[in-house]
Amino acid sequence: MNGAHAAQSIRFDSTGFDRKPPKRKYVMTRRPADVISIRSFTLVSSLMPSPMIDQTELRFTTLLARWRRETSHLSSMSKRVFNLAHLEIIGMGTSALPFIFRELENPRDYWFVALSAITGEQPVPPGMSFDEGVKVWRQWATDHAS
Amino acid sequence: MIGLFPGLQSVRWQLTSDEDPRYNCHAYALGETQIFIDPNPELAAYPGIYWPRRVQRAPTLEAFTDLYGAEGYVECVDGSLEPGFEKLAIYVSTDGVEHTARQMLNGSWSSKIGYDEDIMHETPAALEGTTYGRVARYMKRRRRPLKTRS
Repeated sequence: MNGAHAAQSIRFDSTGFDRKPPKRKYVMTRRPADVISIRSFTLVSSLMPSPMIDQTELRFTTLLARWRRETSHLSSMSKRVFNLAHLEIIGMGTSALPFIFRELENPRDYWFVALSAITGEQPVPPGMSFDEGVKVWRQWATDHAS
Repeated sequence: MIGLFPGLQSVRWQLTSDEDPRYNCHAYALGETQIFIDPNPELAAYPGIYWPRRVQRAPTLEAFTDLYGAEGYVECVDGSLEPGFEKLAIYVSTDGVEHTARQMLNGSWSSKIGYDEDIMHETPAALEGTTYGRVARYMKRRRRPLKTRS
């Protein structure tokens, strides 16, 4: 493998997407790189969302599926909240917010802990119901939309 | 469901609702479908979470016995059908209380499975296993109309 090849290969993450969104040409190199290489894999950017957004949404939906699979049968909110997949969603930070608010349109999960952890805010007064909490956070999202 | 609760394979059971994140099994056992009963004090300020102030905040059998005791339940020997009484079965694992099922008028049992659906199952034993542990206590009270919240 020459030096130029090696430099190109390390620009790609595990899914093969370039981390630089504007780039149109992708070179996906398999090991051993000198035996198999696919060049000039052109994406039509107007037909596809940004690779960066794809990556974030993919990560969110993967973690959400894992969170549901591992905890949806549990009666303990504590166990659900401290589940590793849920903590990883919190770890995504503000990049997870659009997808959490999308989930709040038809809530199947308890998002209030993640929302407070990510935003550092608790706009829902104590004693409110689940449905009231959803309304307050939806309004918060509207108020903070750029 | 069978994967989580292998005991369902040997009894009659069925789904009786859609999934709903608003309530859990402990609330459902008391006829509540708009609250999530959890003793963790760190979650107390979050929407929809409920735990009575006079009951110790702990996921222990004793704390849940007090929780249901405050609603008129007393300990009883087993889950057999007693006319005029409604019963609860409290499941415990090494982590503490995992689940509560309630007895229906015909003697079968009904459970809310986490955030998922409500199910009817023929016996309390059908949900015993690695997921919810074992039934550690039965409680009963005189049957009364289920509470509803608008």
